[in-house]
Amino acid sequence: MRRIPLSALIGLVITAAYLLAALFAPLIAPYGMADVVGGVWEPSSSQFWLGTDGIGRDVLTRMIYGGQTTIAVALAATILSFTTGSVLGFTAAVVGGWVDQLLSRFIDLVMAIPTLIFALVVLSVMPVTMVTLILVMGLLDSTRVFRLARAVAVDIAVMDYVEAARLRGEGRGWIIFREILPNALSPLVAEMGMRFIFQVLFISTLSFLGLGVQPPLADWGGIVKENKDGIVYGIPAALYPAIAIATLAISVNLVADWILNRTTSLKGGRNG
Amino acid sequence: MDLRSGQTLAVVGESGSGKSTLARAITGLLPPRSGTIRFAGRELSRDLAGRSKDDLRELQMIYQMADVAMNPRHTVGQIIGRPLEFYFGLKGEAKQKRIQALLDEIEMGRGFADRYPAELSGGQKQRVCIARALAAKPRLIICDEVTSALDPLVADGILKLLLDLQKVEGVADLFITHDLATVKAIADSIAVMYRGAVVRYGAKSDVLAPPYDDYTDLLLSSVPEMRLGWLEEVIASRRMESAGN
Repeated sequence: MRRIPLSALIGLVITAAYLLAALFAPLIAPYGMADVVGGVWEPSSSQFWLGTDGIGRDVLTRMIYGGQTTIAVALAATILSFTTGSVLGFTAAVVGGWVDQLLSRFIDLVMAIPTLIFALVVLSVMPVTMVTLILVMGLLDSTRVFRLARAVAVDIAVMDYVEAARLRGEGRGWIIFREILPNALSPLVAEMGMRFIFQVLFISTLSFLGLGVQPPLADWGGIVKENKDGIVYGIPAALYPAIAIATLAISVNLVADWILNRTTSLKGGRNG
Repeated sequence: MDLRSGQTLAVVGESGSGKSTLARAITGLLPPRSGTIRFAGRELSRDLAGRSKDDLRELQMIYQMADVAMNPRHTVGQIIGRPLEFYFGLKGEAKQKRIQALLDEIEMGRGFADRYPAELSGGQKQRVCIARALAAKPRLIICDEVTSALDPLVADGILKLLLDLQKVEGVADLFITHDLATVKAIADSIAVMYRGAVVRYGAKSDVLAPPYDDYTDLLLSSVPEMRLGWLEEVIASRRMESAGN
């Protein structure tokens, strides 16, 4: 076992802390998610560590439950975008020809429309549920994963070992999942950390605009929205989600960097 | 051109003369514009999709760059084992035994099955590629410049191995190369290619004996030769000249 560099260790610890807090939210949160337990915008105290929000709910509790929602939605959307994006990207690269053209031009078309506006239009027409949120976020983001996966796979598809597999008579499934995927994994994993953070920001933006997670369910973007008026009076409740998003973003990327370094320096990495 | 089982046909020519294109046409990667390819008495389909699994199995290819001819994320065992599984449906114990037998055939020992290609030397990589081709029990192996990337000693070992295996397994070799020394050593018949066409074809003794056509003459004369004593000869001839004057 090689030693884990300090930066990766910090990233791992913070990421793990967020994940565990999200996972065991009901156990560690001091109060119920939507319970009104104190006065309006009370300052931090031993009773309410981060104070209370605009209608007297405990901010720490809201933050913990909010992390649960935000991370779950972002994670699901990331997984969805990676599976669709990479399967389509690999298929385009391996099959080539008009299939590649059709897929690539369609993706270009979708990418030409600003993601946020696209999402807002779709979500204002459709009922906003967790499932639609995840679908919209995941599918919109899969365009970027498609681009990356296709670019990486095009490089790999011309290798002699892929030609050897085709000469052997292997089907497309084998070529995509057994020959190309293992060699495309490290750039994809590194990108996954980035995309996850973008999804966290995306869901927070949507919630802030009121089209994301719906109250009384808590999520980080929603907490900013609920408490933004307090900033004028010096109430920091709206700033905590920003701190949470920033620290999560940095720590996830520290971990992703480490994974990328580790897999490419492995013997038999993509470049040697 | 034709090639009988157990024989070696060498295809020579300069870079860009169409040697590799010929190989790609035979394997079906590049459908030929005209002409037919007959194999074991039947005509092969022009492109890959039209060929049966047996057609594919009996025609194996070994590449110039062994580094990129093997998936860096598969172990040697997986690389050799896949054709066994794919063509013969071998699994478990039987597959492992066959992999071991193949490793023995290419003169590599036990522990290699669990190694990755990056952990092998150039010559070992090429041996694994040979084993992968042999695993399919082919009738024709196309060797596309298989020794060009290796140093002379290792290349020699690979050539010996190929010849030995040819004797044992009775496969035919189509040997693509630009190295005339190799050709002289291993070929039964030779085809000389220039600008996409075969300019000279026949048994080795015929092709390498005069009278040559222009291109073959150029090709043969462009091989550097080790000649001792040339300086003395030049000096001697100059002395003769000056003495004559």
